[in-house]
Amino acid sequence: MRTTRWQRWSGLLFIAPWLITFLWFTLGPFVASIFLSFTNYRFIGLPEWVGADNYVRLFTDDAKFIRSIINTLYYTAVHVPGIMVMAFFVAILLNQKVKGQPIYRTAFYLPSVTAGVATAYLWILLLQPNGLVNQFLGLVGIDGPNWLTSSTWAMPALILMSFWGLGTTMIIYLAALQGIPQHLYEAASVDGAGVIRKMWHVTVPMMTPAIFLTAVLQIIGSWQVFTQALIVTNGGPRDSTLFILLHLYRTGFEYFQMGYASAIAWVLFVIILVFTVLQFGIARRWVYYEGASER
Amino acid sequence: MSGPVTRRKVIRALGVGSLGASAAILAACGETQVVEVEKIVEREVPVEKVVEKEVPVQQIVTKEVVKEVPVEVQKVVEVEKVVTREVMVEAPTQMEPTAPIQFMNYWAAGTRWETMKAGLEEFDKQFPNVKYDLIPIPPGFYRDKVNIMFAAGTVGDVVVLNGARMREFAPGLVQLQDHVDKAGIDLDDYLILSRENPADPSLQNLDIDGVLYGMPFMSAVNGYVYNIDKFDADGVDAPTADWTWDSQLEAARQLTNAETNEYGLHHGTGGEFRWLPLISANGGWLFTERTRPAPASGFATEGGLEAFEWYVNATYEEGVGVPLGELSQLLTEGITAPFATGKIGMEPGGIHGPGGRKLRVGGRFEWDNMPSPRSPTGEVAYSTNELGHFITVKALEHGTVEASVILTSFIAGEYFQGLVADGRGAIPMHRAVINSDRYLGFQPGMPRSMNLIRDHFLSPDAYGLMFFSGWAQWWNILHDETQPAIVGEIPAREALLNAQAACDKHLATLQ
Repeated sequence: MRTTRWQRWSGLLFIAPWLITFLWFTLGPFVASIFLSFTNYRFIGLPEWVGADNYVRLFTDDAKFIRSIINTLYYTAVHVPGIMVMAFFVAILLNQKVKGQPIYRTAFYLPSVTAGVATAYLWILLLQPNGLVNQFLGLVGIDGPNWLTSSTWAMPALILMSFWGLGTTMIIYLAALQGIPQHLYEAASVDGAGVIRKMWHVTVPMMTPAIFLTAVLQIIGSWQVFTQALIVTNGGPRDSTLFILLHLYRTGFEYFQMGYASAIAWVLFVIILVFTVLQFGIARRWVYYEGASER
Repeated sequence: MSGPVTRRKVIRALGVGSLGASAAILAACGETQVVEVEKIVEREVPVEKVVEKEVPVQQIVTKEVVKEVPVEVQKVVEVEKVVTREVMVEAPTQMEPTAPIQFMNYWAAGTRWETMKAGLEEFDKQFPNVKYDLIPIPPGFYRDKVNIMFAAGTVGDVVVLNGARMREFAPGLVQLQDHVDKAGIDLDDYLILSRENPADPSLQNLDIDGVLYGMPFMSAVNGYVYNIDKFDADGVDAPTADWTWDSQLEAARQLTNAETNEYGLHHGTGGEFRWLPLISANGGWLFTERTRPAPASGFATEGGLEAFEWYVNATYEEGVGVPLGELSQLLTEGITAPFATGKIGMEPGGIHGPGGRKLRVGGRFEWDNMPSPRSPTGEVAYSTNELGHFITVKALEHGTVEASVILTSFIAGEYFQGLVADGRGAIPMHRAVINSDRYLGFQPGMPRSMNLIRDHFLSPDAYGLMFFSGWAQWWNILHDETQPAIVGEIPAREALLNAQAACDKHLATLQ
């Protein structure tokens, strides 16, 4: 159906508020930062063009940048599968019809809506040498480390802290679980499948869209870790928890190298883009969409 | 007034009341009156009273006669001699009302907040036409917030900065000399370290090579505090000016009892007021030269390495300092500062804010400043850091430069700095105030040796941090590389040499 000119213009008019905001607050700074990444801008005075020097320096002369990439990769590699597996099993538990189910669901979801700074300060207390975490480990005979002052254990401490926020992922899995048709489980039972087989051959395949969604979101999120690193460890000890976003923030707002920080931001964007494109690329091999096989 | 209301009390009250009214009336008339009140001397003299009592006895009749003898009662009553002398002063010239100054400050809690509030109340009385919007920001967030606001172009008209950020933001700051001259302000009244010692470029915190950007506000200096009660309880003699590092270590051994979690020393992580002055006192310093930017770091000399090793080894070899991992066991509910627990004998750090330490200690024990022990070379060193109020170019846009000069000079002036001296949240930056009894005199809960703070600050052995563009990154690298030693992960010597290499790599990019 061909739209009239008036219909086209009225459509634009309706989206104009969002469009203007997007152009001014998102696309504008987006384009500006590309330009600034090729300058030595220090936010006082005018930017001076330096070409690709910032990008060259990033990969040849900035050990902290390389360290931040490695740290963020480490965090992503442990946090993402860890939180997905935990959220998956918690969702299965919370899908059972037991007394007090809403209370359990609320209890598991609540941490993920708690303010990040408050959470960070809470975990600073929990991770003290005589904090609750070490006390719990002591109950099972383990002598807990100095989590926040050890360059070996600081990153595991942040990863442990991140698992507390599994609520968002759990909610997505819970919704997906409730969307699995019961007749599939019944058919599996008829075929003699036990609990484990049902899970592996019915639940997991039917949940692959949700798993794919959460994998994409978690990877994007893990590359943007900032609050916990700033508040809990401030990137230490010894840069062991220096994440790329924290390095970007320090470069821009503590060292006033805005041009160089813009270059870091664009490298981060490319890294996240590559991961996302890769995930979409391999998704075709393992994500099952109901009805997709008929196409 | 306690006790029954007697005629004498009523008369006295009326007398004092009429006296006060007279003084008020005379003051309103603009005349100077001296009112004297006569001293009423009264002295109480016991009155002998004879009571007549009839006793029904057959043969004996005793008659008692009551006789009141009027005597002059003399009672010494001290009456305050009220002398009201009105001095005619020229009222400050009131400028035309301006837009409110956006005044960003981080004295937003505790003693400092009380000082700021009281000072601004007086400012409002003296300069009713100078309006401001005070934006108090908690200290932990202040630096980042100001940095971001500078980047966004939304920073206030007046901000507090240190020398490092003064240099970074210099193009965005107003040069003050002309405005100060126009306002008739005599900078000699204030304490500006670069004017006290112009030969030392490291002390330029409010000016850049003589060009004034900042008005004095507060300052900081390092030293040691010690727990008098713990020294007494453990039978250790009080520190003296001829103490050396060896004397201090020996005292720390006597003060340490690991079983009861008591330690002679607490050696924290920050370098500015803790281990860098030790390095500076022992043949090292921050940089090899006092130029900007410095060509190389100067802290890893043999003397500097010795000093840093002494600092770290006191905890991990000698066992007289609190290991960082055990600090939380020392702290209890409501006490977050190690020295305030009462279990630490001595602690190096900033001694410029005894008002804050008084609150943290909360009267649990007596404490005082102590002379800094001398290094093996016989020297001491003091790290200073002045912060000033700077007027940004936003004040030019808003037309509030002149008003901002009035505000910042008031804060640097005798009245406000006198309040700083009372609260002792920082070093007062006024020459008369820092030498006054108001600052140096004893206050309960405060250290008796306030003079040590002034002496350290004005000492010829005091140095500044030699700020330059890129300094903040150098500072972070220094602390990142040295922290593993301070937490006991790697040897001190190795950490400091690593720090030297990493810092020099950064400095090379600035040349």
